Amino acid sequence: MDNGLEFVRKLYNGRSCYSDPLTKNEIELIHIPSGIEELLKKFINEKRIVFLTGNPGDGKTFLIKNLDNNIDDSYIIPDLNSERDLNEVVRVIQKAQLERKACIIAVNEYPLLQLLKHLKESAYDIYKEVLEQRSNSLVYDKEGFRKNGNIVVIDLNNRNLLDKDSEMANRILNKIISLIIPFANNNKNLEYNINALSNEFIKTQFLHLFDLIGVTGNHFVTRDILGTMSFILTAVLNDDSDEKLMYYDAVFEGKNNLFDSLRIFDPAFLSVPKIDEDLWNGELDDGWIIEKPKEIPALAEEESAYNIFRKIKRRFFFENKNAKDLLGLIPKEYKLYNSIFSTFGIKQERVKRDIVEGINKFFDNNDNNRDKLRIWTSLKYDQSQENKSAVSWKYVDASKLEIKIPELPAWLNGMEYTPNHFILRTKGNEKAEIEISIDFLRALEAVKDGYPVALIPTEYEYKIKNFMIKLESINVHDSYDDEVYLVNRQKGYSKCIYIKEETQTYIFNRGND
Amino acid sequence: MVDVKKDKLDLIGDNVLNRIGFTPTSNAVKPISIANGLFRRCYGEYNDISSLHEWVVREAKRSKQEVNPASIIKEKYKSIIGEVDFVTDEELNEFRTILDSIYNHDLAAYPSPEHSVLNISSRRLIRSSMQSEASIDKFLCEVLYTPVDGKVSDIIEIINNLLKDDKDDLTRLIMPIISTSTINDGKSQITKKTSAHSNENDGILTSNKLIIRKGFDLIAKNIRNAGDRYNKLIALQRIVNFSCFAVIYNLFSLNKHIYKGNVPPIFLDSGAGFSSIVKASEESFLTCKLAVEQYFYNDIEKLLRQEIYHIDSDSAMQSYIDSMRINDDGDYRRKSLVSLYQGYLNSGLKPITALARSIQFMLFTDVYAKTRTNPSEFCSALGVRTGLVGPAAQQAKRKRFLPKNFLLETLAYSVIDAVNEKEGVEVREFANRLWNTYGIMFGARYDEEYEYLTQINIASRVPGDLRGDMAMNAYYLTETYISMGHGKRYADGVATIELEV
Repeated sequence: MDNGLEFVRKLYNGRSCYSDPLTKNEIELIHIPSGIEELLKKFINEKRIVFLTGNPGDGKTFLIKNLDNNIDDSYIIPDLNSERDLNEVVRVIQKAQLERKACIIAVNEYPLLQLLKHLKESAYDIYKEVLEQRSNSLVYDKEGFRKNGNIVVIDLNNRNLLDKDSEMANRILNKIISLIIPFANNNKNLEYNINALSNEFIKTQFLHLFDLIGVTGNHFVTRDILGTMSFILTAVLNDDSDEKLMYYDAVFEGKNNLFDSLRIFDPAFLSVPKIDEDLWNGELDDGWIIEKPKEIPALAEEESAYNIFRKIKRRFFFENKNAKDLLGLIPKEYKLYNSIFSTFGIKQERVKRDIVEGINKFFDNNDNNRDKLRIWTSLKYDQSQENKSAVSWKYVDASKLEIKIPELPAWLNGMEYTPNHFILRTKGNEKAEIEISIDFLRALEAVKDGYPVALIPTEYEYKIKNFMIKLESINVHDSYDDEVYLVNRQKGYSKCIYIKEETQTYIFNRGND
Repeated sequence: MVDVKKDKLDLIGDNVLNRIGFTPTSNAVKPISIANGLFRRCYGEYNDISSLHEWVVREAKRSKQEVNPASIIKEKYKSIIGEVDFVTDEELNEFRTILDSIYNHDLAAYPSPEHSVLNISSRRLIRSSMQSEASIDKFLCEVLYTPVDGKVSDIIEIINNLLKDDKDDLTRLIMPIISTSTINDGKSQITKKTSAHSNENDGILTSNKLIIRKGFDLIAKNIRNAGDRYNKLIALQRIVNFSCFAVIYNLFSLNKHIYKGNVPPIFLDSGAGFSSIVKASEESFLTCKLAVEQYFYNDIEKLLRQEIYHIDSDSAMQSYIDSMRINDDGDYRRKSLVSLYQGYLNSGLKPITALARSIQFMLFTDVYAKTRTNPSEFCSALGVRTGLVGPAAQQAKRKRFLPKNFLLETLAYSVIDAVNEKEGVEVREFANRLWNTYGIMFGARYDEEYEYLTQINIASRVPGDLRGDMAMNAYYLTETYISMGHGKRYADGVATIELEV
């Protein structure tokens, strides 16, 4: 094998892909232009002080190395993590500001916090601005947050390379194919993979999986996607026969975080009985884009029949025009979640009401109310006991709640971004909000549909209770007319009574419980 | 009726308890009783809660005998029950069942209102003094009212402001009952003033009390800075939770502070299931309970030295035992004491030390065992209710430090300044603070912690890879904080604990 092919193969699991040890030529070889690069060049031209932050592997070093000729007459700290004297760094920043020169500091998230402590002592204005931009790296009301001065904080944690608009997955796929295509003549399987993933239909099915992952909230860096595409295309060249995988298997068999997310959508687990039966018996003839699989699971040895079936099912997903039926089986919350960001109005209203009902049911599993979000109160001093009961006098009308989707601040438009959460919050000046991720939405939908609350992860329980506390503390709630709702969560029943506060009287039997 | 006077053993025990400042010899001490005493001393008022008690307590828990039948309630309280003639007993009792689960959440209400305390959501639920408070209120108020840097603790004002507000949802629910009680012939709830706490000794706090005070002050600062965002009921729970922890911490650490003993390690198990961690935590719990006993016998020895004028001989001790007035039938207890003393003496202890240990043993197994519990078991019972010790099941033979989430939050609020440390505190630094303040460890400083556990012979009793598991224990405990929204883990391996203001 040639070095070029070997270089690509080593992209899998990062063996080629921290920018630090790569040569300029190698960086150029795998370079995929992105919006953030243009932004950086713009900020340098504007002589800004840029804090480029994120986590290892986010591409900070790569971005700085790629700035090339733009950085003459600028101050560059390509890796703050290795700087020992943070006071000296502060001096460089102050010097850049004084001389009106651009300054770029690449720094991981936690070391930035340590730098902030030093900035607080010596350059309080810069500290304050950085802190504020860091806290508002995503905004829910673009008009609300304004940047002061010439400081810019770019948090690459928010950069989502699986952003639909940037088509990064498609571009990386095309890049990898272009690098390995010269070697395809020597290997029929490699040629097959390249041809398949160059086919429009197959590519669409393939890239759709990456679109779905984009909203899951998992953060993937360029290195992850490069490595993933490399493995998918070249796993078929592995020496070990167990690891020799065609692209349609490799998509779901790789080992990194991105592959873990891809496995959620493994077609092997999406069942349409008629299709499964036909595939098992080798009777599904129509719709194949390349060729119908020759193997028939029903005729295979027992030990290998399932593996063959799984392979054929995966091939079906990518290479058969009738595979769209399988996509319909993907968990509804993923589709729902996706749709929140791409549609407005009715869908968001429905999701909002679902969340209201889910939270109500969290406290009282008999409560189907979608119009009023009840505010529950309880009290216990003995921490060995679970909270048994709660009381609700107040509620927030659903019309006073809104869903807001996070965006990048205006000056970061151009950076690849897809929201991985939304918030439900109160309208008006006083805000109480709760952040909803895809998994949290799934949990709330499950509770709404009757799932036992006790199985909800503690993290979500805390979020809900904290939301209740915030709602209680601000002035957006309404009171029921004399109604008080009581719930005994331990025994699973609830009751409504009436208390006339003017006369201090209980009314037990007016209205429904 | 024979008035059994206290004997010498009782008096010695009382002497030690007086110096502790409260009476940790009853399983009836619950967080709600500590709350009642603390709130009453700070607020300076208490109320008659007998009417609410009647509504809440329907039957005796053990005998299931009906105590306050619905028919009686309807008759007595007809003025606050609309259309009372159409209200069925079942409807009324359904409501009372929920009241019971809210106001008797901590199971401190009994058939007799004199021994009962109900859940306290505001000043209206504070009642008069009870035995189950065990003078803990006095101890806590000494800590809070002793001026430090010229000031009493801010927590007092916070408690009073929180209690003054009786418009919370829980108090509103029972206002008809407590404000128009027919027991008082239609008068409004009886409120009595009590004298505000005054320190008999306006001196300096000892080191253990100062640590507790600092914890309260930082919690007060964090609550105050949160302003309206801090929920009243959560704030009250936080204060009481820390109060209970402070009581237990005080007992565990007295020997270290007063007699320069080892730091009793409070080894928190994250609950992730590492058997070595379970074992280490169990052993550390035993060590802490032993520290309570060590304090007792060190204190008794100090008392004996004062009484026996530093004569440390076998004959002097025997004479002392003979002279002790011991309530006894057939001299059995005296013989037991002598036998214990001989055993300790034969093991190589000095006579006065041997006697001190035997008296301590008699106190814990005989004097306190009769109807109560001993101070080390007290820590176990209260520890479960505080969320420090687990498992909660009474059948669980071996307890350990298995913290509940609420207590983990409380500990964080007592050592982290949420305003000035907005960016959070690295987990290692957090671990340093917990260790230096309370002797708490959870594996974040596994080298130092393992070394300490080796030094005090805990590590040698733990099978498996304790050192390796400690790091994982720290990881999972940090994950618990993160899942509550109180932490963040960065990709370069650093994790921080952050508190929202």
